[in-house]
Amino acid sequence: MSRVWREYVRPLIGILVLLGLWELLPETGLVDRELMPPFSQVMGDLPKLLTSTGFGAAMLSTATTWWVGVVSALLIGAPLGMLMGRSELVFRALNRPIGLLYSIPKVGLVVPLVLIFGVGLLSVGGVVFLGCLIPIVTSAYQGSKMTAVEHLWAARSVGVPTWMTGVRVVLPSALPHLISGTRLAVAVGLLDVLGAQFVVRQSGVGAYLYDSFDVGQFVRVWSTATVVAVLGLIADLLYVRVSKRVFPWAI
Amino acid sequence: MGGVVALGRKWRSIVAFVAPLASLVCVWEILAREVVANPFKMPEPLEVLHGADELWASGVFSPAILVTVERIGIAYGASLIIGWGVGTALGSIPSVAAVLRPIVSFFFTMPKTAIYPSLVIILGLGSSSKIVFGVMLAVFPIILGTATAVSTIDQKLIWSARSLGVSRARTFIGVVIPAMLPGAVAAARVGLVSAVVGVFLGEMMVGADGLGQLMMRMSTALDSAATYACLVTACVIAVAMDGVVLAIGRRLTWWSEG
Repeated sequence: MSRVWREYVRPLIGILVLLGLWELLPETGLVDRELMPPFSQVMGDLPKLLTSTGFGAAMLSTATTWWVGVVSALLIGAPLGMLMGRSELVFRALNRPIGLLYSIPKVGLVVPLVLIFGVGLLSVGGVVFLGCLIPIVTSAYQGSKMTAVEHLWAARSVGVPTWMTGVRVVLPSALPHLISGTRLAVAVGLLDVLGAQFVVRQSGVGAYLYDSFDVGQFVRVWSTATVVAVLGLIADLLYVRVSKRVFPWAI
Repeated sequence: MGGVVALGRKWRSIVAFVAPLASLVCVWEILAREVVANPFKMPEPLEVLHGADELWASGVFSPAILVTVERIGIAYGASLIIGWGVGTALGSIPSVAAVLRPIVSFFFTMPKTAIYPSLVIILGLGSSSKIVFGVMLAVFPIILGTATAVSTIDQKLIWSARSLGVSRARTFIGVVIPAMLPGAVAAARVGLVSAVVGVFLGEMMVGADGLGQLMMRMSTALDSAATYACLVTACVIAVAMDGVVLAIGRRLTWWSEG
């Protein structure tokens, strides 16, 4: 009984309290229910939301842009970060630009990107790509720096060519850091894609949110936000599960 | 090359700071002139400077900057107080951690951008929605970073103090706080970026004033130079504030190598 309590019930207490507040505050009139519909009313809108074609198309657009951004950041950022960890020259060249990129509000870049590339995967996806790049490069860099030099010597001594040690030795060593960095990138990516699509208002859940907000359909705004919030959580949980399955030795 | 090496340390750090910026401006100039070659899509740096100058002269620039900086300041200050407070409690008191940690993790992975419209519905178009959004984005990394910093303090330090008869309160002030400072400062730097992003993004998305809103307006008015000028200003603000936090952090943790 106490194990069930500790692992399943106790973590949920805080969330249940918050949900309770969500229900009670508008119901009792403490918060205007036009502005913050009670939890039950928002839940009631869910079936309509999930079956609407507009929302389905929006989800597809958001999901595609999100994952394209994350995967491209991984494909480019991970090797870059690992290279930075092993080569002083690459580190010196890239350290400052990446630091600069870090401080820039990435979604702000969507405006110039749209000016240059027009609305689409290059601009909106580009924002996601840039946002995900930082955590991935940073974690790849830190992970590759932790590579035990003895492992590298061992690999070289059995005849592994230098360029291959990157894949066979550095990558597995960097994997634990890289996995947690990518986890952050997944969350940041979702945040960025929603923000960018909200600003650009062409397609995706961000645009859907804006449209509902614009015409005053506040219940729809709340229900969409809830669905997306839960989506982010599920994505994170799934990510942890899958990475534990695929790389059990790295976690 | 020898000439650069002969410069004093102070000059070398100035060069190290200016050089990447200078190369960035050069790359920008080359891209704008040769690759994109379209002043509407990507104005050259000088044109952007000109655009900023015009914005300033028209009188809309400085109020927008002031409003945005003020919002960032308030959001960041609140995030630091909440973040350090909750983070310390989370890292040091197990019962608090048991209840709060699931909530913090729950909200950490939540895409708060989706919740922003709901915030605006409740709080209106003004500063409060942007500030709260900034706090929402900044506070979670600060909480988690501070909690980690507190929970990884070497227990022996605390035991030494207590065994010498130092009271719990004094131990906290004299041992725990200095020990957790490097981690707390690192978390504070991450939080700053999130606070800037939150306020700026909030202004971009829905708002009546501020730098983000100005950028959107200039973009709609097809004034590319002004649009870029706003974006560059936001970056400058972020980098400047980061520099300040870094400097203060270094002062506070001069004794540590981290």
